[in-house]
Amino acid sequence: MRPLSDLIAEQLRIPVARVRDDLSFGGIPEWDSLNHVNLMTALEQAYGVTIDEDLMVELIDVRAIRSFVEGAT
Amino acid sequence: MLDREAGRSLRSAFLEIAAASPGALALVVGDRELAYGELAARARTWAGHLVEQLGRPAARIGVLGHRSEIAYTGVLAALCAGAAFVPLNPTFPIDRTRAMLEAADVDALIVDAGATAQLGALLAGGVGPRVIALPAHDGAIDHPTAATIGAALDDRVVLRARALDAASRTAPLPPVTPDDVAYLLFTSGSTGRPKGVPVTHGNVLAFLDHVAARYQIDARDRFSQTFEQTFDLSVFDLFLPWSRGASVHAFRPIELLAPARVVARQELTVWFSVPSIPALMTKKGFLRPGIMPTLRWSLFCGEPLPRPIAEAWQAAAPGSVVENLYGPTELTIACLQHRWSPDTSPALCHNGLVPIGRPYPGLTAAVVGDDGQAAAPGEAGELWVSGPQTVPGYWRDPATTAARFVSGEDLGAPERRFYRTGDRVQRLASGDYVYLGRVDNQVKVLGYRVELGDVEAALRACPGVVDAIAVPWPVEPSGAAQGLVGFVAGRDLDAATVIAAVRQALPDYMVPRDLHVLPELPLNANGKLDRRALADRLATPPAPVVSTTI
Repeated sequence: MRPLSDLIAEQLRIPVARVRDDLSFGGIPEWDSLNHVNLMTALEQAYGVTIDEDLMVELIDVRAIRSFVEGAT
Repeated sequence: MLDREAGRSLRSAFLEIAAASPGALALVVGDRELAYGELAARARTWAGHLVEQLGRPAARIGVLGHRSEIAYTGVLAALCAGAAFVPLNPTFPIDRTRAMLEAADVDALIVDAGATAQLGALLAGGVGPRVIALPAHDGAIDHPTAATIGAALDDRVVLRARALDAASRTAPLPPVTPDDVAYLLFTSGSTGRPKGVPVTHGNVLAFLDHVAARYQIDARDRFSQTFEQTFDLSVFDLFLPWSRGASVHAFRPIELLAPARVVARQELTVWFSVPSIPALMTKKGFLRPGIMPTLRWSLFCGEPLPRPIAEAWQAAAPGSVVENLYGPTELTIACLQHRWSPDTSPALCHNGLVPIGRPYPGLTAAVVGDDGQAAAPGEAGELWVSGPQTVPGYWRDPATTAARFVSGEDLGAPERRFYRTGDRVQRLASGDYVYLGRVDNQVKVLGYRVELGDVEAALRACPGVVDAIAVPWPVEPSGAAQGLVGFVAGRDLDAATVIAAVRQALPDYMVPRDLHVLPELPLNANGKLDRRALADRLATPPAPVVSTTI
């Protein structure tokens, strides 16, 4: 399966080297509202998961996303 | 009707409610709940200390903060000090904030916790006021650049938390008149410099009087606070509830992507946002029927409202009345309104957009053709508006003021002063106006007003760039832009380097999401840079985020 870092980098349109665990929504200009929604949709498609309203406002940094994906797969 | 009774101002209703019902809920921000009495006492105390340090009432006070208790209190403190508040956004590039701070010529600056780190660069070289309030700090500032910050604060009066919140004798409130400025906001300017728009107490009271009556606001209401404080629509979010004893509920930015749970949990009764928020909810399937049963008003402003969004929101908040509001900062928040009706509104929609409606009572609107004369009934033209919400002009900019604020002589109303909105509209037989687009190069990006010339000036300022064009993209079917794309021509250009440089000059929403480096920019038949040809080169916009099947 494709590395999570690659997927995040692609959706945020940043180099994969910048994808660190403490990277967060609003922490860089590229992780804005529109890209966050796109990232959540990409996660759903890549991992076959459903991300509801409550989850979407919790998955706001790479660490939380990684933990969620590892728990779901 | 504008009430000009002595002493009435943007702060007066808030303070009267604080005196009569000090325990009433005024503000919810994060885990904090603040009552009117507590908020008013703190604002008055800060104001007392600021005025004491200045030795006179303040004219303007900057508030460098962002959806926080300090930022909200700071706005009220500025008004209690007899000053206009000047909201400044700590997420903007420092050079832009510095330019605004210099242009606003503030007497004092209130700085939020998260913005302290900027002070070294912001105030370097003596820029900014003599009095700086740091309500989040007591003692030394713990930051890697503390030495630089300390140097920038040298020779200034710095009021930290203990001094600001110390009980002061109850200083009398400096008087304000309807002609005094209540707030000074900066919008994108075509020359690359932000334009200041001073809004008077008389302007904003005329607006609040109308909307408070129209929406029958009272102390039971609970308002969403979705807008950034540098956006004039936040004055609606804050001061409509605070002028009627209702409460303000601040949203964290991430919560705006899925706000329905917060609306339901906090039992909000009034929602007010840009249509981009429900558009994003729709994209994720979050705007479901019946999920916001407590709302009684659902109001949208800041960008065109697509019909499917109005219909989906109406289904999601079935007990609410949906309205589309329209208005530039120069006409004080909003000046036209359309109440959505499932029976009659669909037939009035134009290009899939809900009409911007009819002028508020007491305002005069005109559709003006290219010849400067009133357009024939039903013909398209520029929207001009006159009335008590028309601001005095641009801040210290008589030339732009003269160009945009004009006499109604050619419209048969020489006694009236009109603001030329730059928006192309058409008046329907029903009396409703529909929005057709801009007459110039201004666009809305996620609800923010952006002059493309402002973005292009920043691109051209980058080393090696000879010329530049910015175009809105992607653009939703409604015409609302989610971002910008830049095209530059020049020598040895690297797109990432140019974007990094532009980030130092412009707020995030103005920074192009993509940058294309071309050997040269195309010209149109008139020899001018061909913006349309470049827009056509972009890939087809993504599928509409608006679904009609929900």
